[in-house]
Amino acid sequence: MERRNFIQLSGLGMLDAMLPVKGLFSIEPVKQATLSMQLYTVRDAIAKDPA
Amino acid sequence: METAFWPPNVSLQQAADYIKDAGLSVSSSHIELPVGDKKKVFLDTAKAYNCKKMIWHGWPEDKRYSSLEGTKQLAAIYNDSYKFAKDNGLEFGLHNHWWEYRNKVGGKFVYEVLLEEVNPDIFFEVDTYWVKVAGQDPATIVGKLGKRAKLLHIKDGPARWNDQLPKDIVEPMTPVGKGTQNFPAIVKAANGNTEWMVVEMDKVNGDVFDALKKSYDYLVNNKMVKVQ
Repeated sequence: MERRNFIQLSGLGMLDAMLPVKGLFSIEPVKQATLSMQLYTVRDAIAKDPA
Repeated sequence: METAFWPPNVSLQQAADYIKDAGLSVSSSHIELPVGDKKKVFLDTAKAYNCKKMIWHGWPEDKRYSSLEGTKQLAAIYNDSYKFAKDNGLEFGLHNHWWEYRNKVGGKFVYEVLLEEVNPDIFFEVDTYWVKVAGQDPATIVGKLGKRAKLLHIKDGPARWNDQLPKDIVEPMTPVGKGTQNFPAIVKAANGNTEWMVVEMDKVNGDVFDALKKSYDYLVNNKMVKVQ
């Protein structure tokens, strides 16, 4: 998956809508946390093309 | 997303613009301690990213963590950092590596001393991977910290100790759900106290964006997180 597509889809919450199968051991906590990502993960890609 | 550090040729404002242009917002920011001349960049970063949660990244290991007295000295610095953040309308938190959960000082683990010594409003961003590398059970730790663990670092992989770690040589990590971590247990132990689950991979085999997509699928499919 292209970096820009991943970021845009995840930001819009669209990836969830693309997923047809739900997990076999879904757990629904009392209050769900919100998903985030540490930018350090993609530091190599950022170094090549920050935008 | 949670920010770290950008290449030196990218200004803070450019970075903020890139994030905004991608349609993303900043949950939290890893930053240096607001001490001396670092105070300005601390505040500038919070403003540029419109971010309230400022987190001491914690790297590298401070030698003071090898003694009780040294750990208390660091706790005092964290309390000063918290006060500076609060006085400027911000929150302050601590991110861990393995030493906080591996080193014992005065008969206690470093994290236990920190829990006692730092202001209770300082939040913990528990890096569940390094907790496991240190030999502890992440679910037990997350449950123990309760409401103080507002954020979790979520990463997966072998999560085992090796002597190269202090040199920042880590084993490749896996997509979330493909390694040795028990995330259902961690989320259950958090009992709804977690505000943000922050996926991070220090090093992966293969394409990092594919690994992120698989991690996203796992966490969302299993209803462990919501997407903003």
